[in-house]
Amino acid sequence: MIRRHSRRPRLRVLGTHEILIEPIRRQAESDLGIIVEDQVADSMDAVRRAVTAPDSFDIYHQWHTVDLIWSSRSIQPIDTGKIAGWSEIALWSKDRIRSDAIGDGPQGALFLQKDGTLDSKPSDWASMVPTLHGVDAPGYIRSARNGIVGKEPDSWSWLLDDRWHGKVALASDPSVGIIEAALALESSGHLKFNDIGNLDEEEIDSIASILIRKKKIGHFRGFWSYGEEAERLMSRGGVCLQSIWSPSVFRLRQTGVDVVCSAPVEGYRGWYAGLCLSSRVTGAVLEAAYGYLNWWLSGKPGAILSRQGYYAATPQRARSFLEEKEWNFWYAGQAAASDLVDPFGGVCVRSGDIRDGGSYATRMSHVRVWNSFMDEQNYLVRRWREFLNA
Amino acid sequence: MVKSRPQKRRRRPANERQVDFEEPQRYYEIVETKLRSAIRSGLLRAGTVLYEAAVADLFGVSRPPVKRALQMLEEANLIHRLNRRGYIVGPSGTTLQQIRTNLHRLSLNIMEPLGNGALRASWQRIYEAVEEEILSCSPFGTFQISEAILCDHYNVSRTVIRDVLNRIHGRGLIEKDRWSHWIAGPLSARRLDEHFAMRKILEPAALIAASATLTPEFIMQRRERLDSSSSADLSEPELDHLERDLHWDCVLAIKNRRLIDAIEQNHLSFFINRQFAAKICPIQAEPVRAEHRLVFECLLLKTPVAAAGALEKHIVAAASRTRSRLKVLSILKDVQVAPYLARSS
Repeated sequence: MIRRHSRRPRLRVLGTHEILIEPIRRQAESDLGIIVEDQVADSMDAVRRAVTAPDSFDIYHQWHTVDLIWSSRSIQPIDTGKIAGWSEIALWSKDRIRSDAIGDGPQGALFLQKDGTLDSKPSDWASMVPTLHGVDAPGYIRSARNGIVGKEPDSWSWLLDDRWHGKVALASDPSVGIIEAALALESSGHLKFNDIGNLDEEEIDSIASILIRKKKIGHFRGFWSYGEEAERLMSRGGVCLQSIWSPSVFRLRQTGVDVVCSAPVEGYRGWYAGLCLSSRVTGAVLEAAYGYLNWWLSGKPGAILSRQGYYAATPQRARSFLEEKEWNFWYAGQAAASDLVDPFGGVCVRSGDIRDGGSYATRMSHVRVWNSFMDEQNYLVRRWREFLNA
Repeated sequence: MVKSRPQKRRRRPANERQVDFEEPQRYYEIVETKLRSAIRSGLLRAGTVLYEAAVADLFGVSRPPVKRALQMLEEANLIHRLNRRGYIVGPSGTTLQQIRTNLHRLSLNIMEPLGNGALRASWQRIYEAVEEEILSCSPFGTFQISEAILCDHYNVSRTVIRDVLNRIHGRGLIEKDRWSHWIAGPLSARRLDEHFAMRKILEPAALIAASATLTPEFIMQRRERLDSSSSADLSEPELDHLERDLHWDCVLAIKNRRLIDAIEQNHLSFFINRQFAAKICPIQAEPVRAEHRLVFECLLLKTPVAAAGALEKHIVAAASRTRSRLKVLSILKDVQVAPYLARSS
């Protein structure tokens, strides 16, 4: 048994809890005849490892860190000629969903230029292969919302609204956290930003000082680094409103917590994830890695993760691996024709449910800002940590 | 006698400071050592009168360290008291004929410790080390500087520490918070951009001024050094050498001290790249080599304006690279800092 395994190429995949789930790993092993060794970490630890130890992984399933890991020379360019389905990727295909989003859009640091930098200008070499994308917004407990803000439309401002005092949690990831805090302060009218996707030093200082004061008076009940922590905060921790990711919403619902993923009037925080190749990968492992990259665009893994609320990079390919009722619920914004299961087989959608925020097109066209690694990333990380330690 | 700015010293990572930092000699130690060896060698003959004022004048220092040095020599029974203000060379209890001599005419080799910088003002002896330690912490958060621990750390007085901190403040590297604590960091991309913008204005102008004094041999030597290695990566010391060859040896080969000071005040960018090379990964050699080579070649062709243009382009490209590297430093946490720096919350 061990001997048979040893002849199969082994891929070490670094990524976050939400994406590197066991059903994906098993499916890849079975479809590709390789051994997949997942290295799961929270988003900050994963990028830290990608930067400081590029020889410890073969593939990094990252989100919004290309800029950083390219500068640290942790990744190598990907030959797009070897990626079937490259032109079908929904983020830039002809019929893509358009929005007025600002921040680090999917193509910002995508293509390798002659001078060795990354830019949006197409070339044959790319920094990553997009796999998934989606939108995030605060999640709330339905009953609490009705009691606290009544029928007001959903808004980012609630995250820092006194009416939710003591019942709010935030993501501790600085890149996510600062944008969500900025969206909250912008929509409440407290602050105006020149470019919410690229905050400057003074803007970061203003946000940090408000957050620190809020923290000291007990506005926040907790902070989380990965989905399970967020779920615990809502199921047992007394948190009624928090930044939350889609898989957590559907897992909480399975446990009877009636969480709603809000559809803020200001628009969503958009995100996309993609695969990068370690700069150290060569030879047979590199070939296997290209196989893995192509597999991700085949539709099958996209279909699996669509069942936790993510959108596949090649939706039409994913569609062929989804039942019609699944497609209708997750992508078309229609009521579920029957109970639907998550990637682990648990019922996460009840018959008749309609997805919060509507269809794929409706949600993706309301991206206000993309997740971004801003110019002042170093400064904001330091100020954010002061906030978390305050 | 005292130079008005810190002497240039090969910079080194802050965490090595404890190992190779040479404890500066104090004034009284220098005076004591010099007089002791002069007495032992017979240069200062038994009977020679040593007045505090004359010794202080000889060494160019104030009276208190001289007084202390003479007391130590007296305790060692090498000299004995003549009167309230002076001593005589020779052990006590001996009757010697007093020799009154002009101390300046003795060859005591006082210039040697002066040349080593040991007689630099107290602040100068520790300035570079403190600046390096503060720069080392600044990308990684907000740090409060404890004057008391800093005094203990370097075994110097509060006055010296305040002098050092005020000078570092003058360079814009620290500031006071509303409780009057000295604060370092966090370093922003904008601050870095400002440094590069200044360098872009100043360095090309300095290079044009310097070009007349740079000999072809001097430039060839540097260009050859550039081409002597073809390694794809630059380690921290390699990068340091390469930068010095152009940005110190050529650009700063000018007599205008104010311009030199203004340029050196914007050298923060080199520090970020060194931190990156030390903590993240080696620096990619090719863009730096190609850009430096072009500047040297223009200088060799005696076209200083073209050289200045090439230098300006290099600084712009370096700004973009350095900004990206500062972003990468954001992933580092819990870095080691000097004991007098406390993370502020």
